[in-house]
Amino acid sequence: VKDLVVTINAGKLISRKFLYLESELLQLAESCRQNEARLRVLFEPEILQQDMVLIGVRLCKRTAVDGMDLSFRKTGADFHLGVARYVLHHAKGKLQVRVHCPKLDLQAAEQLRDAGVHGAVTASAPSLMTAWKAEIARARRSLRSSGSRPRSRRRGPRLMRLVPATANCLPLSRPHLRGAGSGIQYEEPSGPLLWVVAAGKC
Amino acid sequence: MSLCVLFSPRQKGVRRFQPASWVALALVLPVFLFGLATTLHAQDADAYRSVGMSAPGSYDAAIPTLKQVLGFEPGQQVATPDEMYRYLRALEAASPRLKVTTIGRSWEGRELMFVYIGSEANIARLDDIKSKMQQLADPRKTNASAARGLMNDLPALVNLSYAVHGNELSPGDAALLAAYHLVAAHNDPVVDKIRANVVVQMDPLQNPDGRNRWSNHFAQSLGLEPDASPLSVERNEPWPRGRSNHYLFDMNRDWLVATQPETRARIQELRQWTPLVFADVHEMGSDSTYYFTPEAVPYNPWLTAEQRTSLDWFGQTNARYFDRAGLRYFTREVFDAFFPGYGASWPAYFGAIAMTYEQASSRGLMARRSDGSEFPYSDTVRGQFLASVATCETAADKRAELLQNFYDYRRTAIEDGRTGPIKEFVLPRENDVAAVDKLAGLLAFHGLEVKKARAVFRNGDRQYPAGSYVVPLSQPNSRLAHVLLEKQVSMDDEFLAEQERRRAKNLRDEIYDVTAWSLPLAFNVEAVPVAAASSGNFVDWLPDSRVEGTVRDVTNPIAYIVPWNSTAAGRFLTAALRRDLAVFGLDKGFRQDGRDFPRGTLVLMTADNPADLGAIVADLARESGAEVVATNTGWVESGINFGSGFARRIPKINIAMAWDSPVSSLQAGHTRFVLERQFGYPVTIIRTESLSGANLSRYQTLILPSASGAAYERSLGAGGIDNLKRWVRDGGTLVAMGGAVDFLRDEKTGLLSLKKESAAGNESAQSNAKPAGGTVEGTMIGSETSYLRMIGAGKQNPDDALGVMLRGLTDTDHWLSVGAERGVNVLYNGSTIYAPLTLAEGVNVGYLEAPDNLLQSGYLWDSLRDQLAFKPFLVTQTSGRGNVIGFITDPTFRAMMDGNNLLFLNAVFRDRRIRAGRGATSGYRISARVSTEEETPLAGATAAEPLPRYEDLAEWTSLPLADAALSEEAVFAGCKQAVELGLGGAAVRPSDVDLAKNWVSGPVRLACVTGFPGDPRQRPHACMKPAMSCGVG
Repeated sequence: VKDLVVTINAGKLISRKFLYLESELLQLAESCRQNEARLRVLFEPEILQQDMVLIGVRLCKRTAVDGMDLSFRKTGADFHLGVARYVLHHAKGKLQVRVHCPKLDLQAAEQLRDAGVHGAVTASAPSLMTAWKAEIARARRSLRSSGSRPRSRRRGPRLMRLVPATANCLPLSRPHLRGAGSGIQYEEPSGPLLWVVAAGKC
Repeated sequence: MSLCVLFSPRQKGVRRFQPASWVALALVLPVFLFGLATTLHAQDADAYRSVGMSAPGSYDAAIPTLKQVLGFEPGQQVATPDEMYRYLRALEAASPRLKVTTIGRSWEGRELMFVYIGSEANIARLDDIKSKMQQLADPRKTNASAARGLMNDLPALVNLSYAVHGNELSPGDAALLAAYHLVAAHNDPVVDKIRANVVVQMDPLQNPDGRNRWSNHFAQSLGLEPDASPLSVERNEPWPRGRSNHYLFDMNRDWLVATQPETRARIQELRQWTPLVFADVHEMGSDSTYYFTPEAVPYNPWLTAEQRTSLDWFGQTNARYFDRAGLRYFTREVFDAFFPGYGASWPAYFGAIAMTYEQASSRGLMARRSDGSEFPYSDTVRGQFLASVATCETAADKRAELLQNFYDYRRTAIEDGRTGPIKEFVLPRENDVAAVDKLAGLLAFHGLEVKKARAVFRNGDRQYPAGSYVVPLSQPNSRLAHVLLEKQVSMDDEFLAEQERRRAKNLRDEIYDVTAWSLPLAFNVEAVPVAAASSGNFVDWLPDSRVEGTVRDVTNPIAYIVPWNSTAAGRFLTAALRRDLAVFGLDKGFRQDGRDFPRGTLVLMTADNPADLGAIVADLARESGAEVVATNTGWVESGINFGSGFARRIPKINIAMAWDSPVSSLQAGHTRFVLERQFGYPVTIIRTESLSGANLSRYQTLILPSASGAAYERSLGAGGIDNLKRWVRDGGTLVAMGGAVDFLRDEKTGLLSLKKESAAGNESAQSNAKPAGGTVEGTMIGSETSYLRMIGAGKQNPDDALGVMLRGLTDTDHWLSVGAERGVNVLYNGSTIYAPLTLAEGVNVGYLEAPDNLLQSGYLWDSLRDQLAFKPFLVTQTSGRGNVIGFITDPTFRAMMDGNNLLFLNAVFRDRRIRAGRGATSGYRISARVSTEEETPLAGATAAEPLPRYEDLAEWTSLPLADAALSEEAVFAGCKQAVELGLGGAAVRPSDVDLAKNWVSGPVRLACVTGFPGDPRQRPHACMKPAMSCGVG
């Protein structure tokens, strides 16, 4: 095993037992480092408020785990992308961010990849690969017919795409963010508190 | 009957020793002992004769012989370093004519010795001799009359230096025998004369680590008897051979930059003693004979006529010794006296008569020449022994002349400096100030008088800043200053005309080493020759003077800024990374508080770093010599802010480097030394063959030192090449140097799109169509010039560049060139020239100047000058998420090209494409990809990206197999599918890890999904157990 994925104890997180979580993660991270394995912590943003996800990011950064996995079960691609960008923005390059989606199509995968998501765990991997092969073939055909290489999509104009705060996003909250009795001071998130992320801006 | 019979153990039973036997023994023993003594004496005599020594009886019996101390006769074994030390210490203990001093330690901690040999009286007054030599060496303090007094009193100091190349064996043993001979010989008029007139300063083993490496190999590979075959293992060392020292430097090229502790110890000692004669004793190929002085042309023009004449004295005496012994030798043919960085050259620039001796090597105890004849090791020791004694005898005969010439050399050096057109060299402390400081320190270390300006001063039309250095030429070592600081030292016209003639006929040139070594050019700093002495406020700059870095502090700093404009900033970066600080590199410049900060500047934010960052930064600045500016605002007047997308986190990375055959041991050693010892950053060295199957995921940068492309291909195999390509695609940075660039551009590797050029302007070479039927169209050759052009037309490869320094420009839009915007000087060697990459292929980050400004120093054929112009010396190309960087010229050449250091560090540390991923799996992370239009400045505007590849997405995707409802069969099928699809990973339950690890292979990473530890029974270690026990722990 080279990767260990640990599901965050959402109950403790919601109960603000941050010190407990941090202590456990620190020990896990240390064990993994000694064993040359990567430790990722899995969060389910669909059942967490946005500020809890932010705290999760900070916990992961503090404990120097290798990455943060975001597991989605129900929501759509736009929500995945928005949350991923939000997390990437706050991870500030210190965490690898991966998504777990039951279904993932090629367009969504490319968007996530372009956003800087490090990987995706998806049951639709076979169909995704089939679509990707077709895309490669199309690009080759295009090259043969035009005699020039296709321009990368990434180099094209960037669209500002706002993800609406839909029912998929949990209600806003602005809780008091100090971990009770933990002694650890968590700052209030300075970024947007809506699950609204401007594409290309994070 | 023999003692063997008398005392041989009985085969059957035990027999008492009978009285009759005593009688027999009494009769036989004297006869036997006499016979034994005669035989042993005869053996001694044979052994002594075989190495050119006098008969054993000619030596003082109180002085221990080699046999008595080490157990073997002269020339019968190769002494190991430990044995050499032991024997010399034994001689010291037995005789007041020999004194051993320790001058330093090698990298591996072995002793570096200078052994002084002479009359008892001279050895007893060594300090007095040293002091008087120092007086004689400075004619400013010692007038002619005082000098005459000193000359009457002083012996000739002769330095005999042996075995700078550890696998050149005979010099070491010859040193022991010469020491014994000079100490123990009695009634020998030659030795008496030497003892009376000469003090030998013997450096018996210049490279103990290399000789130890050879000795270990030899001991391990010896069989029943010594094998003369050139194919035998005992005569063929494994990589790295014993020639070089611990860091694989050829220390016979290290005298200019003095990077190695062995060289530094030696220079420090020689600087104080200034011996009159210096002989560097070497070995060469087995088919040769013996080479001694005079040296071959070209001579360095800074050698004096007297020095050249004096070489004949030594050559003639050597010839007499060799003629008498019936040995063949040659002179003047090969080893030239042009490059000043040899052991046999450097001492010449303080006034010594410096020479090289070369003996055909046996590389073992027996050797077979290519004509089938064989010779033993003792033959090689004999040549060295005879040359050593002959050198001492010449010095004894010419004592007065040598002393007078030495004094005159120093006197005329001062006069020439005082009256010549150049009075001083000024080193302005500008641009890379750390390199300027280092150069000044190095010059002082070489024994030059250097002064540092305390204030701004003017000389001629130019104003020089405070801190600039001045090297006045009215000093006894002024010729050394010229040799080290002048841009160009030319060979004589006659010699060059001959080389041009040879080139026209496709004959090899006769230049033994590089033709350019100018230290200011190598360090990329200025050395301004000025016609008048500077006046101002100066202090003497001493060899151990040090410039510490500074921190310009402010209250409540939010960040510390380190301008990326000097090698000291490079040292700061590596030290900061080693201390786990968060360092950002800004790819664009900015202006803050009225000061411009260049591209590449480092920023350490206090918020990202430990609370005591200020103290840490002060420490780092002091150690590295870097300039640090604290700031209490992120606001800039122009340019980018610290939070810009162009501010990239520079990660603490793990560096690996290919090591072992087939890579060039010299280049591998130089590169490792530069990173480890000049920048203090560790490198993991990995055997090249291991790279083929190695898991490189721990490393972010892999360096491939020079080796032929075919050799790399053979060593790595197809699987290894795939492994390398995959690693790069996954985000690794591959830095290739020299010949390794050729490997990466190979069709099978395909990581670089470079194309090699054939000789330019060669019509026949370019239109190489074979005529039908083996006939060609008839031609009329009108002149010899046409004839030469015609026969030279088939030449495919460009001519060899003779180690020249060329001016290189950089693409100032590319991150790889930060800190090198002014351009650099590169050392070009060999005949490899690549056509520039097109914009669609990659970026030519460094390319050579136009023909008129190209050559900075050295000799370059005209045709090559035109062809080299605008050709790349540093290229980069992306591959997947990784990057390939090719240094066509060697940035770490002999660790002397300090001006290339920032480019090299950029390549190793700054590759923005290093990011979390397979190529970066350590605990140190950098920012996720930031994609901007300017990411690849040259390619960004016009070039399209490469075609998408299947792996790009496949390796990004993983298959989830952690659902509680999955059966084992389903997990097996999922793993199989992940392998077939070439996915990046498969995530399984802890209970399935044991099975799944057997089901996944190739690029598929096995991940284990587990719950969060809940109670004490599931503390992290318990949680880790199921996952770790089966794959990792």
